[in-house]
Amino acid sequence: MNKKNVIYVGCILVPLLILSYYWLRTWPITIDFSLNYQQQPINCHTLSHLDPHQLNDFRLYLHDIELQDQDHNWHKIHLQPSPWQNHRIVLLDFKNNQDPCKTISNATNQSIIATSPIKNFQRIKFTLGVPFELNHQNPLTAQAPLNHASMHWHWQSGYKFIRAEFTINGISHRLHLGSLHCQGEVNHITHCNTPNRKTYYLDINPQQPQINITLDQLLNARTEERHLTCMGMTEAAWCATGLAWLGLENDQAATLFTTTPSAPHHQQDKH
Amino acid sequence: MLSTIAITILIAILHKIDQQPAYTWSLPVDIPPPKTPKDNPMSDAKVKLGRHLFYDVRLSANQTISCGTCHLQSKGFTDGKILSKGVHGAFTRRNSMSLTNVGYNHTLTWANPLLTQLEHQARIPLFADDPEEMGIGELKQTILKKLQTDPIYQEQFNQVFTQEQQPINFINIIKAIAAFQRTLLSFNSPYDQYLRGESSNFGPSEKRGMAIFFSEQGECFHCHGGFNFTDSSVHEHSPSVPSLFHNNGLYNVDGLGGYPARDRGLYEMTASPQDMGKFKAPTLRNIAVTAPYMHDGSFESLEQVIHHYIAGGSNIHSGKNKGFGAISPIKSEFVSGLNLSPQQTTDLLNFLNSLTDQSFLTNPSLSDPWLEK
Repeated sequence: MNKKNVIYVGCILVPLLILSYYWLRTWPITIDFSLNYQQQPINCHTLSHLDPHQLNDFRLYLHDIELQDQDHNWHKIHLQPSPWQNHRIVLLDFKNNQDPCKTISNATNQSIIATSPIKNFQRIKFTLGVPFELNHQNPLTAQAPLNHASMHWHWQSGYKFIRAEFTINGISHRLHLGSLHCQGEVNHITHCNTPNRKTYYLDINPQQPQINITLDQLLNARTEERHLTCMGMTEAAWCATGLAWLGLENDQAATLFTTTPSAPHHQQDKH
Repeated sequence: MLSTIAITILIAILHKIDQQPAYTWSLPVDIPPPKTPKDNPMSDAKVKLGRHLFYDVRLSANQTISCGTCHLQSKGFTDGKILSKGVHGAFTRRNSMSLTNVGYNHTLTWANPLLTQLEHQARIPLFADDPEEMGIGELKQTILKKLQTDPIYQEQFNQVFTQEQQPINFINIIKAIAAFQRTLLSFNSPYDQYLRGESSNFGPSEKRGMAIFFSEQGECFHCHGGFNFTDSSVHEHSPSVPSLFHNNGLYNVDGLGGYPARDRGLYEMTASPQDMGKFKAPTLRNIAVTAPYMHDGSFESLEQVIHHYIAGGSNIHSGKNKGFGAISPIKSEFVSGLNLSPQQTTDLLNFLNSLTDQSFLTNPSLSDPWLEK
């Protein structure tokens, strides 16, 4: 290769490298979640404050997380594979009923760890649950974070998208929800009539991305029953409350996720 | 030319390697074998391993429950209870089903069209937690470690799952249990012996009962017909059939045929109003030893079951399940009431009793192998 050719190649390569650096540049991002009840953050350690209320299990899957820039364009973020995340899904775990809170630092996960193609963003969107393509695989061979037997809803052939269990004033509350009314056969599910996936849109502070999960609407149901359960059957005692809280009923606004955005902006758009 | 020959030979060799040694089913000549999944072929060694696992209490959270705990051979692989207790004391939602000829079931459990393979169904008692049965949940690794250090299993798993570095895993555990379950074959009742022309305790009353059973007067065979006395049966040579479920008028809590909220059968899986109260018709083979009956174990005896069908449904006069199943607008058209004399009722009962296969209920090769040691 003579000098001339080197210059030609360099003239093409160098700008390409510079451009691709800007095109492909990503920023690390951590989105923290906190669980709140009666204006107090709760987790394994602070449970005693809430006695006689008890958190027994609180886990949920989220997927397809995107951030919106100032021009209202959505950008996918890239999840870093870990025991809690694969490229599309994250498992949030505030309390696993298999774990007596002793190993809390290792046993739970309250953040999304990712890289973002944009540094400045104003909104976030994500979907509750496991995407259909990954929801009906064999849980015995599935990779993290879909390898938790206790998050699989064996008789429905998919995963529990959310598993929330509490004892409130001595009354057990259990909400397990995933896709329902599926067709086909296990390992060959073709369609689910009640997918129970919901996409949430929230304003978010790019300096300190933080999302609150608020339990008040879920846990304030008055009841005479000893056991409140919702396993997706809408007639079940706790389902009206649970599905409304998740925003799965009649397209009501969900109350479970909230954020404290940095700067006020009043657009109504916004999907 | 040479390459063609070489390829032909190679294909022949590969084909030979691919062929599993044929498994010999222990079946009468006129009964076809059950369907087996391609990735779980039968072998004697696998069945033996599956039998050990089926009866192994180490496959539960607190080493107290095996598959055999709720599926006792002497009771046609049921447990004689209304509902069964899981590892931590919670009760199952439904009555333990008979595993008689379970390999022929088109769908498994009482009302789940998604479950068509024993390999898939096994995950529910092992891992499910609403309610917990064997309660393994997240204890998979702990339990596997126990099994991996047992020399009996080391030898048996290596023999069945050759080529695998660590064959003692839950995929293989479930495959072996399913293979054992496919050998729970019962075709040697007095009724079968009678059909084969052998001498048996199949007398005039049983013959009259059989005639009623298979008649339009009795209607029983519509749902409980075929070689396995259920319309939810498939075998190796049968075409794929739709999953069949029926509402037999057991409840009618709202005048519209509604079932109590604690269990609405197929409706829970589909949310279609026409599926309210529908359940699978279980096999009637060995039915005399599988009391109590129905999905909720609400009948103690076969006499009660027959009277339910004579009345064309169950009428409950008080309590929260009050209602007249006999006038349910959505019950099966075949549950329309029977006109049977007391003698005919006895004959029908005697026929059902003649479906009990003592050689199956006492077959040593289906019993708990850990008791032999």
